[in-house]
Amino acid sequence: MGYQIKIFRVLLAFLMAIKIEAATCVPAHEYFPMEGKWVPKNDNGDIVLGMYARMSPDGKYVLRSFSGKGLSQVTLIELVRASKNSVQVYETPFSNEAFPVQGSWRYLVDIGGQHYLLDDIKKYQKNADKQFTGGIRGFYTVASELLGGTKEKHQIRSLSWPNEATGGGEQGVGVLSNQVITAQMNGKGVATKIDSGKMNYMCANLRKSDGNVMSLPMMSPWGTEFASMPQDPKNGDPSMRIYEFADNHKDCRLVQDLGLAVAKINFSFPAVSGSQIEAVLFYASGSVGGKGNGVSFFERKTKKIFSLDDPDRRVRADSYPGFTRDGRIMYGAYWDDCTNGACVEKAGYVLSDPLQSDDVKKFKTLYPEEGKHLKECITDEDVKTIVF
Amino acid sequence: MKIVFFVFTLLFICSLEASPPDFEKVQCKGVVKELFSKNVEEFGVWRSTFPDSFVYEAFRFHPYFPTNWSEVQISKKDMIVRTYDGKDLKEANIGSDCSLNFQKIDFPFELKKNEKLDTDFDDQKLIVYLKTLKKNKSALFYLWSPKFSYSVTHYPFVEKYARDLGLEFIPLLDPRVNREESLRSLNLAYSDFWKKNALKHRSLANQGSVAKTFSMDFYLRFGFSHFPISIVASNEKIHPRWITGVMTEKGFKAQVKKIIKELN
Repeated sequence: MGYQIKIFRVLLAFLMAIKIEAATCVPAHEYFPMEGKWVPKNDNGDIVLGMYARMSPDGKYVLRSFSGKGLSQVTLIELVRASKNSVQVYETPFSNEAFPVQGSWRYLVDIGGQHYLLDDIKKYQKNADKQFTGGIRGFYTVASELLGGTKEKHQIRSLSWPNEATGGGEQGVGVLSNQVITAQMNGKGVATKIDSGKMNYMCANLRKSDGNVMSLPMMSPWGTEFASMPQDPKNGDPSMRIYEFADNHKDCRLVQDLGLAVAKINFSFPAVSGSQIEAVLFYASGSVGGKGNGVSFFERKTKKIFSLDDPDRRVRADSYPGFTRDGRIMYGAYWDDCTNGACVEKAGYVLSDPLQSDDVKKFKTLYPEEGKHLKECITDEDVKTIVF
Repeated sequence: MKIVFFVFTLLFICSLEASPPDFEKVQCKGVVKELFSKNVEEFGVWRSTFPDSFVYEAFRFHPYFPTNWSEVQISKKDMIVRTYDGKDLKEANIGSDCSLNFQKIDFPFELKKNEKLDTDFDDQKLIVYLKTLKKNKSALFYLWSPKFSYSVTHYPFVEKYARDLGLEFIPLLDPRVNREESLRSLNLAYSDFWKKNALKHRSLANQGSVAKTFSMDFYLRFGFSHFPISIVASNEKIHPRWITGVMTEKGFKAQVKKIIKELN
């Protein structure tokens, strides 16, 4: 009997150890400095980050646009986690504000609609070959893979204002449009487009309220919602608004008005493991008073705006942020690296857990009922369950 | 489906309200009302803005003239007031005795840490310039940065649109970037993408193209949160609505014309 109790105790201790390990919080902030001869610098000699940046759902990559010398106009940056974090840079054949297919990041897309595999960009960089061309060509194009796709067959929705060159003609003047293409991949890993879809001119049903000039479109990771800021709405000031695509791909339903005129926002992934908050992110340049670090997020259940911060490092965000699949927030920033009181400014990328922000903790203390859906933190286990 | 969409839209329109702060509900409302007595429709518009934290509701007054900025962060317990008069950025907490003790606060890092040349642009220059813009005389400030490629590639287009409409075109560069590199990227974008079009309209790459903006007024108008941002001024006033991003000629010109009409 004593022997059995001993085994039971050992087993219990083992299970508890697993549970404790499973509950380990990710660091509140992780820093990846961008260093090397290739980094662009400004007139002060400070590193210039690309403000237009897109973050991969696994928190490993940044697709960064910057028209500077030293690198290609668009670079893929890999965050390398080690005893001393760093970044690895891959040049690309892309130009302007190239974009990923959100959700899966199966493809990275040049503004002409040329779809490239992420792995090909890593292997061949500027010499990578495109898989196929498709989707909308226009200003500020964004794309998302629709939910339910597989490696073998998947649908991609792209959203933009088509310009005249695409044949949209005058309809392209401020009228948002989307197109759903279908692609497949063979056993050799070669992708082809099998259906071009058609151009859908959108939101005519909202023209009387939201006007017909919708700027700064951004789409949710699985292409079900989009955000845009009507430039001249008939029902109030310009403000960033979230809409839902209708089944006919043309009508739009207003879901939420954030009430703020802001730059592009970014959507979180739908919560699957309970670790994620459902939120949209802002790059909060324009705020004064030195509070927060320049990244704010609107939590959609509480309808509150929270700010990120790391006062010890005096973080100053300097790029558009993005959500990872597990709910962390990734952004380009400057921060202070201090040893024995001597501080050096660093520039690079930061991964932050919004659940560990002071603002969210304070909310949970003040409003335990309203804040009970907000977990203590994102755990290592949450990060491991990412499907990418 | 269309009916459902219509109902949702209708419900939304009915629930919309203007977003000035409700000073009737705040503590020390007498002090607050006097403080914001010039922040009225005649001089600009109140808009919701970023709160410091979830505990606050935040509002910023976007003025027609750069000397009349105000921001207020209101919570159940306290109120933070910030003002900018074209020179100093100040902050005060309204205490329980309704006292106000304004203190100067730092400009944001985007503005204060970058080197500034005499040829660069700031609010002193903006204030002087605006006074020269009499009725029906208009200007378009084009804030651009190589950090946003569209702002580079569309630079010559926007200059053409502005000149077509009789506006003075004033390009202003993001202060955080390298001038030489910015000029090079402008030339590169020019030759790569828009050579045929742009050569008809302008001689690019002059020093004026890389004058940086250190204007706190433009920062408060969210001019640093995206590039390009086009800000239109006329009749000694800046319009509190700005144009974000690039768009086609027809859409852009329609927006500018409407703004100029509203300013005159």
